[in-house]
Amino acid sequence: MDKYSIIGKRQVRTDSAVKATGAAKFAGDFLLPGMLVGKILRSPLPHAKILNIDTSKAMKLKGVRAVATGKDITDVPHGIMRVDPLPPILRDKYSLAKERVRFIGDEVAAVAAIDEDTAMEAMELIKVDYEELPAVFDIWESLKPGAIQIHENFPGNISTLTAFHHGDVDKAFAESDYILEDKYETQRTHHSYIEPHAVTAEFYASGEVTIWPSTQTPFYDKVCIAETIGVPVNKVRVIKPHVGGGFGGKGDVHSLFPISALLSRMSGKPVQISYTREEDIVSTTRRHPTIIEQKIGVKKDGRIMGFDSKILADGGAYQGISMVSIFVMAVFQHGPYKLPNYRCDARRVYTNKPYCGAQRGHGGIQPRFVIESMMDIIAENLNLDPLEIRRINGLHTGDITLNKFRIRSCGHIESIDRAAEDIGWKDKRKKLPEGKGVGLACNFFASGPGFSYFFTNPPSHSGVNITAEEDGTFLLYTGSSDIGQGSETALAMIAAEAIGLSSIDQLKVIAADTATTPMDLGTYGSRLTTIAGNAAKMAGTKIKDELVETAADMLEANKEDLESRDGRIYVKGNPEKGVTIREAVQTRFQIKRIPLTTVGYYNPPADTGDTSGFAEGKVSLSPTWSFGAHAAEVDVDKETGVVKVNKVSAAHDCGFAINPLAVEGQIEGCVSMTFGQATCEEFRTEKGWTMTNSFLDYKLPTSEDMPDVIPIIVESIDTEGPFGAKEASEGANIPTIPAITNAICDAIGFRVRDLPINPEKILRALEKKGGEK
Amino acid sequence: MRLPKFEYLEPTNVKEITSLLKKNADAILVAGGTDILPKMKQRIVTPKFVINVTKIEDLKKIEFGEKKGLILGSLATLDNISKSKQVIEKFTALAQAAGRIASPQLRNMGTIGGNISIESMCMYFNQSHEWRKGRPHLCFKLGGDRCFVAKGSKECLALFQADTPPALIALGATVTIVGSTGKEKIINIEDFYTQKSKKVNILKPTDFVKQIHIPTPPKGTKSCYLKMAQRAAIDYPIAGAAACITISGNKCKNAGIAVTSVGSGPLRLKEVEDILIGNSITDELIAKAADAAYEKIRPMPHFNISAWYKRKLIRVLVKRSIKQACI
Repeated sequence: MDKYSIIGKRQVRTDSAVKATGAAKFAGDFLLPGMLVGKILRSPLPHAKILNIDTSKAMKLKGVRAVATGKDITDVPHGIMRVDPLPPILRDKYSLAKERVRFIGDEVAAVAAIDEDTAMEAMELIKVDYEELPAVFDIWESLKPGAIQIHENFPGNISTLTAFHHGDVDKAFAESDYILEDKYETQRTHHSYIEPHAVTAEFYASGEVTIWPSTQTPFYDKVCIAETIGVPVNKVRVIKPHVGGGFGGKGDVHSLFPISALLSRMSGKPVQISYTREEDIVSTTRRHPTIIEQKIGVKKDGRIMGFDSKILADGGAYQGISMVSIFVMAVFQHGPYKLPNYRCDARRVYTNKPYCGAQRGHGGIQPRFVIESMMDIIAENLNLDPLEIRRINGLHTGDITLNKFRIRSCGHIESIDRAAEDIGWKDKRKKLPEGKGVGLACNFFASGPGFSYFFTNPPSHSGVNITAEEDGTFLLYTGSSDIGQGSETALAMIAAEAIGLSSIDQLKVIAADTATTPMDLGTYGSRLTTIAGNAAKMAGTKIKDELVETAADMLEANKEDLESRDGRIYVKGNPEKGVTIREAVQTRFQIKRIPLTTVGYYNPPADTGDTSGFAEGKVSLSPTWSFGAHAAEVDVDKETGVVKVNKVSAAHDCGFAINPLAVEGQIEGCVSMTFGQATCEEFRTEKGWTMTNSFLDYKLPTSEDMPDVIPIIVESIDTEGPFGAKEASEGANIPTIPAITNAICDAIGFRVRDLPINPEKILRALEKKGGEK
Repeated sequence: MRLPKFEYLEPTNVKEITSLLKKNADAILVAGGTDILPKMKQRIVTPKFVINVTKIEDLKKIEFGEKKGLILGSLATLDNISKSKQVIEKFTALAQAAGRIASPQLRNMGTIGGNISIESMCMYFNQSHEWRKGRPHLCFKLGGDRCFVAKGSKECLALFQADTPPALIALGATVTIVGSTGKEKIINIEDFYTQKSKKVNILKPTDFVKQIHIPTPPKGTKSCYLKMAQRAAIDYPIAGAAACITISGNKCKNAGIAVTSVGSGPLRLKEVEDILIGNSITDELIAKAADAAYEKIRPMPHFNISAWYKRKLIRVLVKRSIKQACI
């Protein structure tokens, strides 16, 4: 018999049927009686003072029901960075601009009208008087003394700063046999989720409002909406509908949520706002572009002595959640290699451009591209095998990093070995004909944040309630947000296994409704399987314990001798002697006459890091950590510079695969996203104007471009995650880029130091090498 | 994004198209709509009348006869052309060009008449009303006074990027245009283009393209179109090259070479053809021909593609397309 009945098996997702048939409702699908269309008027200028907004003509247009401006919202800025010791000035944006606009696309006014055409016509009638201010688009300009200040509270246009020093880096370099200093640049990318941002809101006469937003964080939205429109938090109900992907882009509180609630209150009608793709690309967040100068010192045998990292990120016009972005760029360097000494100075600079935030692989992508490139250069210069230098420096189970991250399980070496084997490393590295090559890179990622940057005292990081129905089926209530990754299915599997059910069909998940489901912090930092999963396991185990007690009475057996599995509770070793779960539930209801509801919860353990503060790089970051390695094979067309990525062998240590089908899907999705960042995607602006504002100009790879992706599941069985599970949705995003650039270097001897790798760059490098033809 | 308001007209025969065009100034024809509808949504084009011609079955034909050659109604879809057995066999470059345009979904909608009539494109032109709002100046193509592609340019430098025109030029196609009197005019496809970015073809507001004709190529003829784009689907070419080569008795008897996405229109490269015609095709000759293409074109940098790269790429594509047309 398998160890488990449900988990570890390939499970079709609970939402497949509604999505495959088109029945699933997304935020823009709601059709409420009398519903109005909301539209947002945006700043056409990169930096300006708002002198006056005249909405009178728009209000007079037939069919217009409400026009809102910054005057109609409270003075509480929105944003989710709010916990001590973070200063409150980190929230630097209003849902509707109050006095100033800071990028082309900033929200200035909003209209609700009977249809979209009328709303668009009304927007043309709003007259905004601006006093244009000088704008900065380049971080170097922005950093110059005397540069225009984009936010008064942030002198020098530095929006965020993380600086720390562990050990003694200068001494480490003095003792190193070899020191490599190098510089890399990464570009802005956009998440490009298939569903653009959308929301439906209905404000009731009772003074309450219900909002259906396309979101990753309904419990944060609730508070921010309440604060912005000035109502008590308990009057706001946020229900997350189906969400067509978020990838970090729907984890900040975006202006359209409070605006929709405001317009609904002003008009007395439900209001729906659906962003166009252009609006979405321009006005939401994106991955930070960075310039990273890195210094690595090693001993002759390749052992790392120390890192010195200087990170400069172009943040755009607002802060968003970037305090975390910058912080994680600095601290994710603590793995997968053991660092004895580490210094980092990471800064984020304001510019008058669309602003940056989280994107899948948050903060891991940029420094990992740098480190994994440099590991290959070091290996080459010390005449070491690139795999060996990665093996000897790797963290191991039981290790504690410099900043006190606990490594509870570690599949680092197995990931390297299996990815290398799958790509055919031994026969291919340095052995393929000129123009063909293989490369490998590793990763390290958090399984959920160990802290909340939003709530000072959340009831728990995640709560799950399970209630028994009279027929022996169950309802599972969770505040967590499935945004397409399949987390509801994973939670159902975990709970069903814990109870002892025979199928997840016997357990219905009710999720992400702030009025009815227990609080969960949201979908970000790859937290759901580990954190909500532990809560689901606890609630399920409590149900099992209660039912086993009932069954023990029924069977006149000791409860210690009973096992609950496959829908039955029976005497261990004597499966004939038992009762069904249904019988146990019904007997319990008859005898006790009390409802059967359990409460599960999870809080990351306190031993996961120094918690004294963000700016010093000290925070309890994650209960446990994922590892992995990708190996890529490329063909370079030496006449055109075109790089064809043939295959990516993607090994990921997810601890234990609750649903291997979903883990494979996540790994493939991860590779697709960073394959795009490596080879073609680039969010571009020119003097503040977004140039790549459609899927024609923003080059998201198509299915025809994708390499073969071979997902390889590595299981290290974690001691903290539920049934040993760790994250599987972001870590596998991280090594794809350096695996590809390392393969290019193997193929043609050229080291890519800025992204994306376009054919022109490759061709220029080839010509430089071969002499101009 | 929403379409602007317009009046919708639906002719049922060719004559009606002409009369509707004559009667209604400020009208546009829509077939597949893949080029014009996005422009309407962006408010680059806001016509009073939209004439949907897709009900005219007669214009959808793909006909071939050894004597009469290939006749493509202007409404033949790119997908049907790319999958037609005769086009694949005898007019390979055209099948390849049509089959590499945009994506499968867009090829189902897009037509050959639309593809040859496509406007030139530019990052400063193909943008929405919202995008343009705060711009202090407009470009030539939008009725403004400057070009943002090259500072100081006296004219529009938007890029012509259609895929099928170079293939049609290499294959020696002609275009039948119906004018305001209903009279048909047949011209070489090369003459269809003005080589001016602001208005790339010679069509007058009351004209429309009825059909395209390609004579049956002589024995020993092969053709090839090669396209390089950033992605395998959706994108317009960074560069594209078509070659049609007739070999007779070991010598190149005839050659048609044309390229796209290098300037204000599709460009026939007579200099390259002249190098090939009358000679035995060797690797050296092909290299010389490709060098001539490299020398001839004078592309502008567009967005993130430099002129330097485009010229290098044209050299490679011309070389490879000739080679493939000779295999």
